Amino acid sequence: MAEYWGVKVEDIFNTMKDRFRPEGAKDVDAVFGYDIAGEGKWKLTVKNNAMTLEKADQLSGCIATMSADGETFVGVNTGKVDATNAFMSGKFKVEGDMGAFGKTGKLFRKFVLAKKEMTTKEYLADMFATIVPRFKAREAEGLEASFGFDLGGPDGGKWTVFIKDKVCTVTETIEGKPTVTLEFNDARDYVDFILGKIDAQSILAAGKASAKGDINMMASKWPILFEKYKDPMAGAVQEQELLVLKKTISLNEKFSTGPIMGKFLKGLKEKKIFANRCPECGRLQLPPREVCAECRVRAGEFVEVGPKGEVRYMDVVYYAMPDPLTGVARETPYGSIFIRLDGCKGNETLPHFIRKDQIEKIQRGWNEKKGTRVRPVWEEKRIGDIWDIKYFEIDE
Amino acid sequence: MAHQKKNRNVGIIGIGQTKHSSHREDVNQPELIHEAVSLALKDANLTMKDIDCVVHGNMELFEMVHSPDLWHVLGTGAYGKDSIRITTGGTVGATLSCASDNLVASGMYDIVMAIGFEKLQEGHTTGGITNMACPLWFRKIQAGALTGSSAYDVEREFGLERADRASLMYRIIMDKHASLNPNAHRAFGLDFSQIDDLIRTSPKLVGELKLIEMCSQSDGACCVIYACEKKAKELSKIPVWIRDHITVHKEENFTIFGYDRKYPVLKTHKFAAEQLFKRNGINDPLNYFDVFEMYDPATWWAIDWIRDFFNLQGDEHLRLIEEKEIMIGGKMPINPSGGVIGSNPIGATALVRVAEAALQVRGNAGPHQIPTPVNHALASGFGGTMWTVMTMLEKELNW
Amino acid sequence: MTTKKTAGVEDSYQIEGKMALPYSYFAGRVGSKFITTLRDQKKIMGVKCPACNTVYVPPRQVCDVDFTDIRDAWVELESTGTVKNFTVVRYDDKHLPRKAPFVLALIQLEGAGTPFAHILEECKIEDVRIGMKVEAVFAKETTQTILDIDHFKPAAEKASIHEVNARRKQWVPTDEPAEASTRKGGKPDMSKPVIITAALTGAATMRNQNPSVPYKPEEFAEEAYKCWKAGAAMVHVHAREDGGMATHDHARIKATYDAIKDKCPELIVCLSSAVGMGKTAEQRISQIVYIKPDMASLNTNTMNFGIVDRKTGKIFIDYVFENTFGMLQDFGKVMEENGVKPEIECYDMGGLDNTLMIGKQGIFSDPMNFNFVWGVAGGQQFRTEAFIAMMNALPPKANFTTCGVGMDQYPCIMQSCILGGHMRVGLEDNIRMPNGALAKGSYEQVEVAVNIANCLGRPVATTDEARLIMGLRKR
Repeated sequence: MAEYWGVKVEDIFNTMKDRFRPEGAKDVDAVFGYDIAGEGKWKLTVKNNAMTLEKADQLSGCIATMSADGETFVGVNTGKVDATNAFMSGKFKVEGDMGAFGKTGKLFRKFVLAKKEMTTKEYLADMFATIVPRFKAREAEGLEASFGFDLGGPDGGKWTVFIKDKVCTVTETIEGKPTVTLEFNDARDYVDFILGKIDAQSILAAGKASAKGDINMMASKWPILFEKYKDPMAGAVQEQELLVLKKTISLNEKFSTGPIMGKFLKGLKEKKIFANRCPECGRLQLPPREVCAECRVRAGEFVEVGPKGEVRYMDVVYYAMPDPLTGVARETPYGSIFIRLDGCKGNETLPHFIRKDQIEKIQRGWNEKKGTRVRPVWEEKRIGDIWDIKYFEIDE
Repeated sequence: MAHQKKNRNVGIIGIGQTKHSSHREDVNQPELIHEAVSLALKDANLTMKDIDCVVHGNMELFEMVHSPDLWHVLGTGAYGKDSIRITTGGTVGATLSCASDNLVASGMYDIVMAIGFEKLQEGHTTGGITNMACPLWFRKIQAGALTGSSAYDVEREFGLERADRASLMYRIIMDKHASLNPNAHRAFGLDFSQIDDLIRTSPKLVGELKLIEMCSQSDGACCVIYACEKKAKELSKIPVWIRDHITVHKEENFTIFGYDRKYPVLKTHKFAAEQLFKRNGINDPLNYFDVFEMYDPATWWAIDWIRDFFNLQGDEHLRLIEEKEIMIGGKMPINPSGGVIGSNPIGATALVRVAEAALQVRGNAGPHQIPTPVNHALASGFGGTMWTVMTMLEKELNW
Repeated sequence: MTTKKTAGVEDSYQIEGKMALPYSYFAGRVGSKFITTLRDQKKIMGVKCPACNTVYVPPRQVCDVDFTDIRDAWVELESTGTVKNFTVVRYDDKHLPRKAPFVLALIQLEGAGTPFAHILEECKIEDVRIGMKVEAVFAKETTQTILDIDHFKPAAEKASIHEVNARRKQWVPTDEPAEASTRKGGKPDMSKPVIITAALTGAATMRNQNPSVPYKPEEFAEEAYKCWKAGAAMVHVHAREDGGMATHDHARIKATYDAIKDKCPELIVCLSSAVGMGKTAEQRISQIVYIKPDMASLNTNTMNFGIVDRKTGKIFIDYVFENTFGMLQDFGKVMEENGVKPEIECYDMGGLDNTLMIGKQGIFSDPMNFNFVWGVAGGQQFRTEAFIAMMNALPPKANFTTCGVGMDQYPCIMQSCILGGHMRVGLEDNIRMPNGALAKGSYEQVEVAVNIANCLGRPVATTDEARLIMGLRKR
């Protein structure tokens, strides 16, 4: 199974259970399919704030199925690939209910790339393998010494480093009686010590290690004779935590209707729809306006129009957007219609919504061609507000 | 008209743009602005001390900060300077340019800096736009920032298949341009062979408007420095001259959906273009201009508007697209930058149009520079419910 | 149907509305670091503009005055500050952070160049004054905003040691008879100021034992400054490399010495002439000659200086600290010749006797300054009778101070203070506070020493007084 950025496709799926956020699964009751080319198919079932994941042969019965190749899938999940770019360029596809699939984003905590670590054994091997390359011969003029390392614990071992005639050699035993010998109860402490995670005094004071023989040789001479060990895992700089503050700004307001809009809204209370007419160009304004913006004259005469009319235009909105009153996204799809009420002409249209289950049946008008006839559905209790009309429905 | 009353000529002498992208968690608003301001100052070889006035733009309700110009001083450098904030919706960037031009042309200031910015990943575009205008009526009933009406228009006029293909053709040309522009936000590497596939698979947003056809939501900032003729000639080897600009408004309501040819609606782009070209004595704009940076919020609008801006007849505008004449190297290159579809930091977007057009005139736009000489450039801005701002740029002061 | 009726004022009415918009605000790198440091370390960070020297809190990327990029110029600030102005909020609004009435104050933190607004609580509104000292109270739960400082409260009213010293009469030496007899008479002079020394590092105390151990010159300077503010007249310094290794490198030691002197010019700096294990005599003394500090340590005895488990007697490090008669003589001469006053380190009575014996050559100028060191594996443990014996063996006019390794520290300095001697604390000797908690820095131990002096009614020496007492050159 291929790895991308050190992560397998399976890693993403295997960690889903741990990354699952029940608080993000409220109101989600669905089965999602994942089809990863060359890797397999998975079915994710979310119900009652819980999830189950299974490998599947086929993905029938899923509300939405995403498909991508392994690299894209891992890339998107680890943040290595821009999700929007992958989606827009077709590398990451979703079939079925796009809106429902969007909710999977809230279901999981982010996948975190586990930092690959070297084991103690690997470190020790690397540390002693690099001793000869790190040796600075010019500092060893006239020096003959040997350094013993007796490192205990399951990963430990024994080494001797010899220096003679400006040549450095390493053996994997302790030979003879070294000039100085470092004994560590646990080789892990030695690795930590060399990596600078713990200092000599602390180890010695805690009785985790001791030095025998010419301690001065180890304390003063060793750092001069050898270049410092470089941690091959170092350099992976910790990415700074960047804060994002999420808020919903919510303000209460009061608006004066003014006499013109006031009359219009009060009319709705009586199930009447008023437009006003421009004395210059004769057009009806809906809702009514103080002046005709085109002719720049006061528009006064009120005309009752409708309440039935024909649909001239309809937008079916698939993309959720927040209701300005609550900040919560409206349910999609919905049909936003422009109605030419009886008594109006040309562009004298009124925007409103169509009954949800009738979206499919609406015909739009075009020049002389008539659109579907609709009528308002009134609220029982009307207060002089746009929502006194609940929506329009087909006038059959 | 307007330009004849100009006291003095005005040139663009500095341009700075951030790379436009999503999710700039690493900077806050003034820090993002600071990037563009620093780049523009560097481009003009000036320091903040040289700037007489800062014209700063914002989109109300998009950045969710009251009086953002106060906070943004950390990025705009307006401390102790004359500073004006302008907020005119999607056109704001273009209005910044007009205002800066006017402020210098009037003799009020010698050097003015215009700054547009946006962090769309912070605010909520659709949420903001939905709160537009009359709170008693349209605000409650609005469908959001998007409409599929242009798609509906083009489809009805030219048939579904041709319309869809022209739209996607336009989209892919923009993507190819964006791929050449290192500052562009979305550059997918699309190819013309993908047209049919994308028509089929791209999710619908509103009506026939598909996700792939919509502009991006970007974080980014743009800064342009304007100077009077004397200073521009002193300070810059390649000033770009502003010949004229025009702004056309109409009422805010949405009663444009009657679809009855007996009752035409004011089309502000067409109206503005006609006025602008007429007063500058340009009879054949398609031939006169060498490049057009158009504010194209979605492919459908774009293909429809090409006809309005250049006063084209029949299907001329579609043929320009289908024959790839709008590509770099074509007859009328449109948006060599990749356009708004490629990058849309809204408060900066219309200023980016002016900046990119000016870069083309300067001849140092970078990989997306048009190979042939650019002497006359056009930029447009769009906002509200069909407002238009247009700006004409010239290489030589000889009109 | 047409109605001719036009609308009138009576048709206008008010409609309740609401606007709700979700948003995400990106704090950016600078803002994020400020908040995460506040949240995780309860530290308030600012940035300092190198062009105009303004310290901004909260931090920002650009100095708004001169437009300098200052995103990396971080400084840490105190959590105490001064009320520059305030107002009382007397109306309630759901957007306000507290129920009315509450005080919103402009608070300028110590070290900051600009004030910022925050809530002031835990005092009566009528007691709030411009100029009052306040301290930050950090929030228990984070909101990842500036409210991670929950509020400010009045700072504990405690006059600083410098204010106390400024108010008292300065000490002047009197022509008293030889002091040795006074000491033997058991009547120490409690009116004589006590010199507090902070030994910031030593050669062996590491960050993983106490994260406040300074390594870099600027860290030494910061720590030394805090010690001085707390009441120390002198710091004792073993310079370190960036990684924490003790160093004999002249440039590094000088950089460290100069950093301290730049930050706090009046502070006395005593360098070490034992700069880590296995250094040669040349390495040990040449740096003293090179830098010529106010004072330097002088070791008096070749001795075991190892690490041994005190419970089991097991030897971990078997090391001999070489200080021959020759070195004692040579180091002593070189120091005196260069105007560097030796601090004579005695790990037992033998070291003291060595000094008196070699000193017969006339090497040491009066007054001699001794330091009794307790608790080194190889030297003697702290015992009160041993202390008194050593004190009684001192020549007339000699001063003595003392330090103890580990938990010997507090008893030995207290005894010294009672007997008219001086006190040395610091992370070199002990990383903890009397209650066993890790010290936040040597300065916290200085505060303990100041408390001891206060309890005994002894004034704490100013740096000028300390110079007079120990016979140092004037600054």
